[in-house]
Amino acid sequence: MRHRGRLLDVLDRAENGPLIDEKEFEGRLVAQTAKRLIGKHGLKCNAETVIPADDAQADRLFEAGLEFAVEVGMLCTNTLRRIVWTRQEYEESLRYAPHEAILGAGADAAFVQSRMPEASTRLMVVGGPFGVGVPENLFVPLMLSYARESLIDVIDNPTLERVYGRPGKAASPWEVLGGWREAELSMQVVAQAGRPGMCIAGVELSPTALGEISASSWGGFRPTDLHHVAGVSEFKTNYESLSKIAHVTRIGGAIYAFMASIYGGYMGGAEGVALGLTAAGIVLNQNYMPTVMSLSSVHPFLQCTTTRELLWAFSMASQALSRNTRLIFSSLVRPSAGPGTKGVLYENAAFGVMGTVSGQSFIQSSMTASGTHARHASGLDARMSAEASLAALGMSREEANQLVLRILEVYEPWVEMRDVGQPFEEVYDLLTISPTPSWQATYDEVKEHLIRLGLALPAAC
Amino acid sequence: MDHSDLLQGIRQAIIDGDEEAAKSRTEAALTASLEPMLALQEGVQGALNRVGEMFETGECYLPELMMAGDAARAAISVLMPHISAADQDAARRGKVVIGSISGDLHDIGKNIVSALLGAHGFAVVDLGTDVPAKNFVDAAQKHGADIIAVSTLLTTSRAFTRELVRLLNDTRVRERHFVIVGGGPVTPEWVKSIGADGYGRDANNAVALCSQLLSGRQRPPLEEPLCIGALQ
Repeated sequence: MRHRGRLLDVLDRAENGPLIDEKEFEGRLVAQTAKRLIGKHGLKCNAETVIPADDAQADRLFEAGLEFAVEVGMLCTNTLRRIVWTRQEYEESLRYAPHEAILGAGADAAFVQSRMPEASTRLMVVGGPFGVGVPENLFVPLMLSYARESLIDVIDNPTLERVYGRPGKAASPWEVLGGWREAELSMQVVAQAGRPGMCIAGVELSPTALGEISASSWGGFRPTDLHHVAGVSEFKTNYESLSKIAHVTRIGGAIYAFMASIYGGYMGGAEGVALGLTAAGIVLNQNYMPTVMSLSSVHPFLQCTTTRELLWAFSMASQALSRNTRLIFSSLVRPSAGPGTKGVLYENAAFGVMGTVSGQSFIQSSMTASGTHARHASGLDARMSAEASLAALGMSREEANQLVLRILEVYEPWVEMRDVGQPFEEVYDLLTISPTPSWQATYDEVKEHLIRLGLALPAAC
Repeated sequence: MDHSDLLQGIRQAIIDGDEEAAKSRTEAALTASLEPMLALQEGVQGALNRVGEMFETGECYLPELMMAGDAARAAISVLMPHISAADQDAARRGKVVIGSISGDLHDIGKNIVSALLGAHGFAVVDLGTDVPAKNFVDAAQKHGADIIAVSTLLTTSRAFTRELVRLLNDTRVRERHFVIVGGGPVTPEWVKSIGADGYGRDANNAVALCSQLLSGRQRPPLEEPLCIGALQ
């Protein structure tokens, strides 16, 4: 990628930037800067309007995000130095950041591009149970349920619970073998799906750099795959993440950068999350030089991303970034409910509509049942996100807001109940990799209801 | 100024996260002959309970929670020399050593639990992230912790929680500390399988769990872990 030319500059700044204690960074710099900028720019959440059509506030949010990026930067926790850049440097990097990319190879390659709010250009669809634990024997069937969905362009891996029958352990030989095991199983998935060139997002089993660097070499994950590099925590990085970037840069691979801004955490409430997501987009682009980005959040008690306040925050931040940059980004949907339930389908539909009309570039679906229950995910969960997104192309934000409010009325009472549903093997036939009649019937019923609520999905067969 | 005004002054300073005001108002309250135990229980603890509720209802967030904790500590430092050792023991809710275990650098969820425990009167020693099992054991010994609270959001770090319990057993100090575990990949089944004493799904559950573990006569290790907030 052409913007990776600043790799050495990023690494230099991680060694030589201003020194700061980690607690001082979080408690004073991050928290106080966020609070001040929210007030200065008059950012205000109205949870009755989950998809605002307030361009002025979106632009103020972007300005706040840029100021936050300049004032805070990113902390390297190994050196306790802040990686800081001037406003001009950020602006130039944003101007020349990649705004389109081809992922995967050959006939299976997928195209992704930056979008604007209300655009009618199709979003790329990344499908997979990111963050959901899975035993080795279910990895291939579970991932086939995504790879065989024709609406899904890229698959995103779950977390292997064991490695050749043994527990995986961070920063150990088990992490190295875990990365390789994930690559080996992923290649089986795309081959069996008849999509050998399909882009795979991984290495999921890489809490340190060991998993990524070992498994993204010859015989493992390919440069045309998406390589995960997460922020350590809000606006923090470390040598492990920077090592992954250095390695993926040298193999010419695509980087999938992640950062989450926790609701109720150092950034505060909905306004703080919106600011955190916006600033994260700017800071990740600068320091991780990604191909695509995932900007996420989570509710501290409900553990999902589909509450009113969070939908507002995601929509606002997405509009701020898509109106003012050409970055390629998305947000991971993390429904509270699980496979086999109606709840997961309504939550994924609402989130898909929100992301699509707010200018996100791709769909990322989904960390089903909030990712807390192993094996609780299925390809049908992601199909709903993809279908809802397609149906929302070109929709106005006002119309989408009314629609999502109607969908929220249906699922909101269920969110606190945390119905995690059934594990994959109970909602899919493992031989044919197709939904059980019961799960398919639930899907069709919800789809019909969503059509009646105003979402123009293609009718069920 | 009557006693209720003095107590309200202390409470408000703590809710506002104003360390200086918390300290000076507590000093003023003692000068005005306010009973130190009353100041501690109704002033300081009353404020911390209120801040905990405010966090749970979204009226305040982690920074405010942490600032209130700092202000409460300032008030307590003024009060403690005036409270008898017996009353201090009675007021003590227990000591918790907390951290994210080896390989896990996630800290915000753990920090929320840490701040909420502090807001509910527990003495908390936060070891940070990527903490080896041995460091948990050493810190628990050093600080005389009642509870070792472990956070892990990664499957690849979860395995280290088993090592922690094994280490406590092998060094023959298991009966001194309750071990509780939380985080995304942790389930009640996992907690039971490693021989830990408790599980909480979220930060509120963690506070309730610590309170329950220390409220009775039970001693570690428990035969069956106490699990709060577990999903069916």
